[in-house]
Amino acid sequence: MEPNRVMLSDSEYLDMEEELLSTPKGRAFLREHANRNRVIALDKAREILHEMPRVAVPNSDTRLEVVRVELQDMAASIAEARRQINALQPQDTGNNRILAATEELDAIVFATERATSDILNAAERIQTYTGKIREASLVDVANDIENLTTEILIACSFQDITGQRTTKVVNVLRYIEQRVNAMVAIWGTEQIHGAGDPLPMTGPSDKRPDAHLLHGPQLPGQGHAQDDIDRLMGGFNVPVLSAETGSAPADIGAGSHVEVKTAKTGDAPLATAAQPVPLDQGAIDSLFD
Amino acid sequence: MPAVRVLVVDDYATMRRIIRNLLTQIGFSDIEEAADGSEALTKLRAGGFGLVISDWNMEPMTGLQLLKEVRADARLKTVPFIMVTAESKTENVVAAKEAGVNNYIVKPFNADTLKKKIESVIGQF
Repeated sequence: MEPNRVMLSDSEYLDMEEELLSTPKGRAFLREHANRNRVIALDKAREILHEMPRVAVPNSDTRLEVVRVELQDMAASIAEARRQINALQPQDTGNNRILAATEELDAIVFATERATSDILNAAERIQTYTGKIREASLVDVANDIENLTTEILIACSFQDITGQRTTKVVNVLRYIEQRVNAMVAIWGTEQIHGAGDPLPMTGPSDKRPDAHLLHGPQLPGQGHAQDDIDRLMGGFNVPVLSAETGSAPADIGAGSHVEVKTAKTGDAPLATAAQPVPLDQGAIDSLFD
Repeated sequence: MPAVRVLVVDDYATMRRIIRNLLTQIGFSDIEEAADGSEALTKLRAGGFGLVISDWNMEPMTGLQLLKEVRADARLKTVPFIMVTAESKTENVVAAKEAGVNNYIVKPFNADTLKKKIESVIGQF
């Protein structure tokens, strides 16, 4: 600002403007003055816009770039989630771990129920003998035996509790399986392309040298009964169960003149299998080499 | 009454108790127990056992590993060894037989089966 600049008050400005507007020359001066000031303002605005940094003003290209990057991140997260869900469902549905777990628990319930029934039957038979003993006037002995059998009967009530608890766990596992299958259906995991290999479905590591042979109790129809094990021990062949098609065949003797047939799915169960053929002495001896 | 010291090996105390009771019913009176293969091997090497009845799935040493150790030990290799296990696949029986097991009982079993398998190994009594 100029050091000796004169300032006009509002009333002085209006009086001078009125005086100029009262004459033709005065009005021409005001028109020319306004035009010249408008040009100066436009030039000044253009100069300011030219000098402003481009990045200070987000344009549509920048916003699209941000959206594109965000969408890429979301797509990568979705692909990873689908890969994780895919890993929940092993390729071989026959080996579904949740289904296997529920089958094991069902087998537990069945086995405990059967064992409990056997125990109860034995206890009841003992009670019939106590009646006979009582008739022979060994009342104290009879009472003691009856008390013990009553304890057995009461103890067998464990099966009811374990059965209920096991059934609850089975129901939870089935619910989890349903939710997992629902997620798999939603995500359509079979359509995943280029999502990378599924995560390995590894369980707890077992470092025992024969861990590969430790399968545990088999479900009904999936393991050998004692009779067939006796035949195997005696050097006879037995048909391989359909559940063992991936296992080593029962070709238990080098030099055997009889080959063991590998049972296909749906083959007759062991009870109706063909008569086992004995191995010759050389084949049996090879088992002990 | 058979004058044989028996070693019962199983990681489940209930199963050891059941087998002990069955052996007692059969007529055995000298019965010891071990909860896994390592403990069994220690007891066997102390000497005096005429029969081993062992489970398979135990930790840290399985019954199959115990069997192999027994058969590899010059002082123990002739001790009769019966596997009593829930493992019932063909490959299990073959592996046990190739390792030198004398007989193989699949769980669940009864007293009659146990007696017959023992008799087949140590002779009738």
